[in-house]
Amino acid sequence: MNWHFPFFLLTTVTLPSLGSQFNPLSLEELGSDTGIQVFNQIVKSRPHDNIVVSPHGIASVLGMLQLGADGRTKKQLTTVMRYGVNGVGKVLKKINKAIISKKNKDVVTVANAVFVKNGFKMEVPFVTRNKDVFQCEVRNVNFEDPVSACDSINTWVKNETRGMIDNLLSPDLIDGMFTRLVLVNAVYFKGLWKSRFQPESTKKRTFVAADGKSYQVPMLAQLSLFRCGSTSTPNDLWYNFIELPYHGESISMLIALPTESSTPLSALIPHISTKTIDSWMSTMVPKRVQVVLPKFTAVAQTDLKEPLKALGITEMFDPSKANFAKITRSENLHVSQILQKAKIEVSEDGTKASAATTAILIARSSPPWFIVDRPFLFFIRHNPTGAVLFMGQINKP
Amino acid sequence: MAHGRGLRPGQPHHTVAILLFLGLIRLGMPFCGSVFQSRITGGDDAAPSQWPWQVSINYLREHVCGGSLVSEEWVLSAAHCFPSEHKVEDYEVRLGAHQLDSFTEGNEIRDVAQVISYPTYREEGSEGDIALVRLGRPITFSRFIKPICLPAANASFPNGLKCTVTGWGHVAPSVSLSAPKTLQQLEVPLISRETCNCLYAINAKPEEPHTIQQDMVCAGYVMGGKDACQGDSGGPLSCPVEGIWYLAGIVSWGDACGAPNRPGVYTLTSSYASWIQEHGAPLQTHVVPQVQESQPDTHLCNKSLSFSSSPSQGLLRPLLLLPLSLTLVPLQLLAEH
Repeated sequence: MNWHFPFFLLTTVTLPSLGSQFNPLSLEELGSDTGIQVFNQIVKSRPHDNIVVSPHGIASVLGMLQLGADGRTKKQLTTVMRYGVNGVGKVLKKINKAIISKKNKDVVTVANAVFVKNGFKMEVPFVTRNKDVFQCEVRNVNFEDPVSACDSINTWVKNETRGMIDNLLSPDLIDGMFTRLVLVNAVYFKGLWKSRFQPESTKKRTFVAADGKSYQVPMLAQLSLFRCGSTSTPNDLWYNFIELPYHGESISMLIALPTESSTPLSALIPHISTKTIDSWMSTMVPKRVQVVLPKFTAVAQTDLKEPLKALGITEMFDPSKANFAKITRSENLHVSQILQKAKIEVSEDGTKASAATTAILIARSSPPWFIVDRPFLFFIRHNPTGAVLFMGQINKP
Repeated sequence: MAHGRGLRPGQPHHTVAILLFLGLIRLGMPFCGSVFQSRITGGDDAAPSQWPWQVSINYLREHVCGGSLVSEEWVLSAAHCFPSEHKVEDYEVRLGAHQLDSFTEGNEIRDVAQVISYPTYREEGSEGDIALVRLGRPITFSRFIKPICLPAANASFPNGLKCTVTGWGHVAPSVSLSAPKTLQQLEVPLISRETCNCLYAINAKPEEPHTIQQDMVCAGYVMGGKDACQGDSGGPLSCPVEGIWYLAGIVSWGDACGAPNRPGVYTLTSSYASWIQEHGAPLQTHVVPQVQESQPDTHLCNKSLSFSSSPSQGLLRPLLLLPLSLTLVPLQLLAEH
């Protein structure tokens, strides 16, 4: 018997701002690391695409699945994730609450839901643990009408992401006969830059994309104090990084850019983990820098099945082996789909006029430039927990 | 009018002195600030050798600031171009340059032997944004490399005097000068310190006060649009008086670049005449002939007009008188040459 278990993970961002606080909770970093590993797998097969994923979202969905899994299926999940959700539920819950805390000032919404076929009975602990740790709600839908089921899921996603992500699901992904549940994780982030970019400084500049072609793209520019630094990979490829904080001070965008334009992003990515990011955070120094970066929107829908399989999470996709006994004992379930859609918008919007307002910025010596005019990596990091809400590679804005 | 009469005795002497110096140039002895200039419009490419005292100061091989050659071995620039964490060995001075992207005839590069920043300079926007830079090896003057005259302590340049700021800095905020990076020149009228303070008070942010200090002078346009910008720091504000160019100011700071009511702020070189002479020996300063009476410029700042302009005028008068007592000094200096 083939029981489909389509399950979607969704993520979104709207970005526009710096904030840094160094207080890592290693657990969430392990969680984000799983997501970063998945990212690593994705870019291997799509080195020239723009890719945006939510490592935190990936960790959340895998965590939700872990609560329903048993046997080898569960073992594979805990091995790759390096923690058992049951063992660290309290800490995970704390982290999830910290990320959406109003203290951040920036809007972060993390919404998790399980859409269940009408009448489908789930094990009670699965429902209560998910609710407790991941604030996951359970909703009934009628999968026998794929179009209306799809509509109600998409509407929920659209609402939770404030319109950023629509049409996540298409009806053909739902099998009226066999689909029992759809798991959805949506992450929405709308941050205003702490130091906004002046719209009049936005100019078309040349971006040399991964394909070697030059494109004229609108680029934001601002002279301000930014924390930045540089380091090298173990095989001596140098790259620079900079922190662009959002206004609540708790979330920042980090940008990593190879020093030499001949260094491909793929040479850098395997070296990056939450530990690497931590080391950036501790070595960066504030500098008066002239930053130039593309104004862009990137949307990417990513199928996580193959990347997860490559990492060793295989059984949950296999109808004959998947063990989700902790979701239900009455039917054999497996995961048929795992998709993530993430969107990011980078614009001028911020809370405060920046250019040349503070003492250090009025001086007229020429500041060093940080020009993002070639493929780069970005990270949206919740600094108090070290969680990576989003990360991506942009090959062509 | 009284001022005008006071000036008269000095003028014939001065004329004679210039002729003498022209004679010296012919003999191969260059004289500061003597370059014939065609009319300058605003914000355009300079001609090669038009501003032979303009230098580019490089840090780690990148242009960071401008500077002005004032003798065979001294360059004057801004203190903020030399933050304490930067090593002197990482600096170079490029002289005789016209386009930064090409190293052409007349270009010279010198290491920096010493940087003397004004000791009490603290941070951007504070007093004392001036630095003396000694070249690793003296330079030989040429058609492309000549010094500008340093004004004496008592020098006064009249409000509204059309001076020229030059540099390779940004052409707009966050927009760098495009290839081949030709030296830019911009004519800017002088604005008194009082009026400039008044302008900077318009729409000022209380948390970020900008004060035009005693050792600063402004130049530019109330309307904005034309100004020096990042990368121009340390470079010259050259003012012509009777055909001789004086280093009236050093590009220092400004709120954004070319914003309305925010003219460029320059370090007033004459405030540091004695410091320059003491630390940059044997540098000489030159008395600037007082040919034109400085008129109050309070009308430039509408805000102060609505109050009363008299206090400002009261402040300006003593300044106007100062140069008068010194009209005879040039003769002494010239005689020394």
